[in-house]
Amino acid sequence: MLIKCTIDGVSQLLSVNADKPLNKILQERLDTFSSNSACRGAGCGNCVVLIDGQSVLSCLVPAFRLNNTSIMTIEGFKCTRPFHDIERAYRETGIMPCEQCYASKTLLIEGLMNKLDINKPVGASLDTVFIEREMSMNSCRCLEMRQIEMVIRVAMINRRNRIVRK
Amino acid sequence: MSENNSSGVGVATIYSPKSTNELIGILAKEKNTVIFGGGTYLMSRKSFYPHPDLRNVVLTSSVPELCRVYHSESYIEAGCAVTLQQLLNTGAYILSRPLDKALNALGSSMLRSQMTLGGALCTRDTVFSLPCYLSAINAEVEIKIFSIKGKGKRVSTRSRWYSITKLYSVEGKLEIPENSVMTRIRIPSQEGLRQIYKTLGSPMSDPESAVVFALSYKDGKTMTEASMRLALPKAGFFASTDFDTFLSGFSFPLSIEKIKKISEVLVANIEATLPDATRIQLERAKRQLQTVLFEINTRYLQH
Ligand SMILES: Cc1cc2nc3c(=O)[nH]c(=O)nc-3n(C[C@H](O)[C@H](O)[C@H](O)COP(=O)(O)OP(=O)(O)OC[C@H]3O[C@@H](n4cnc5c(N)ncnc54)[C@H](O)[C@@H]3O)c2cc1C
Repeated sequence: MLIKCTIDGVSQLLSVNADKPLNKILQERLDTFSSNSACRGAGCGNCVVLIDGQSVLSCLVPAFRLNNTSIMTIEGFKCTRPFHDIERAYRETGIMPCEQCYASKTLLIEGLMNKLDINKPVGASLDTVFIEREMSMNSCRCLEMRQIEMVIRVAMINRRNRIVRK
Repeated sequence: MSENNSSGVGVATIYSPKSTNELIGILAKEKNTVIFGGGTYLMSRKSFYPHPDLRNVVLTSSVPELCRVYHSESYIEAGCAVTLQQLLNTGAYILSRPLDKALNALGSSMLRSQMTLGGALCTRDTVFSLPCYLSAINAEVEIKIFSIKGKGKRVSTRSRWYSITKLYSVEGKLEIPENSVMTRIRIPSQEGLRQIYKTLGSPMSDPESAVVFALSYKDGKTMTEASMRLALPKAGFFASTDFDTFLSGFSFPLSIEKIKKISEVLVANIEATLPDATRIQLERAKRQLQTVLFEINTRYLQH
């Protein structure tokens, strides 16, 4: 099956088996880091990528769902401005995910921030139960929920400031 | 119908039918075709890719009529390809709070945007959360059973509404025939009934210890119309009319001894019907029922 999509901003025409999971495509063809899932959808949550701005577990997305989508792995995301909102929040809070889950947690945070209303004051728009549920997709326990919440709060402020400056 | 052919052994052909009849036609005529809802369960199976045989995949999400939600005063009716997030997004005016809670308890919005109602009810080897809750509130599903008739290979279809409880065997196995597809789900609004829904542990990552508990009953001094369901993912599905009748007779407030007694009867019943239930599941089921009965007691005394 031929699939037209963009991966990390580069247009691609992939010839792959229609039922091949996205994480395998990324691993075999593009040699990216964001696809190191070992659990086959049992919930390790280490293979998160963004598809059209939404975070997904790439092991649960078959190739036939990818036509005309924009896929972003951590490698591509690192070259974008939204990444720097989160990266700065890591630095400012001194809270950093471990090497194992850095890619997935960062993309989960981005997916989550895309769902929040950036115009609302941060305190009002953050629902801790919602954050806990969304972040539970990554099973690595290197950070506590309140630490992740703090990173998101600061990243939201960074993003709002950046947008306002623009 | 669009068909994506690809080359190689074991490679799937993907069908995207545009109507239910077309979907059924494909299932009836194409051998070895698997129904694909959101794929969260299918793709987490080791055998999904690479698949040893040549097989086809047919999508339910390409059929517009299966992606719709209707609602009336007495029920919500949703197509099997409606995602859990789509149902949640219909909002608080339509969804009851326990239904909202039951849907929210399934993973994160990322997974819920992928999981379909059909997929959540049709996993063949494990009982999951949603069937338990929907069975307790007497939801129904429309199943279309198909066969090929005559030399002209005409597809004949029968349609039947089943109570969700009847879909599963005691061991929690899906009982609908292989030559069938679930098309619609009807969820009654259950005005005047109280519903309680709790999940302990994760049915997906911890099936040996997870317990899903759902209870619906008519409020009053005496509990009536009780309908209690338990899903013990690897062990089976507990739905006993005898136990429901037993529960229905009790008047509140209940004494501590009575609550203990009722929960012990429950454990004895589970042990008798679900021999694979683990000790932790039995303990959790017992504690869960006790907690719920204490909560009802407290509410009754507060009034
Ligand atoms: C990380 C993770 C966490 C999970 N957590 C939970 C949880 O907390 N609780 C829980 O209950 N489940 C959980 N699941 C299990 C499962 O994925 C869900 O139950 C889900 O709802 C399945 O829906 P789907 O649309 O993705 O199904 P699919 O994977 O598409 O299909 C599942 C099965 O149903 C069949 N099917 C689909 N539609 C129909 C139809 N219309 N008619 C007949 N058969 C049909 C398919 O052929 C397949 O056999 C989890 C899964 C994952 C990967």
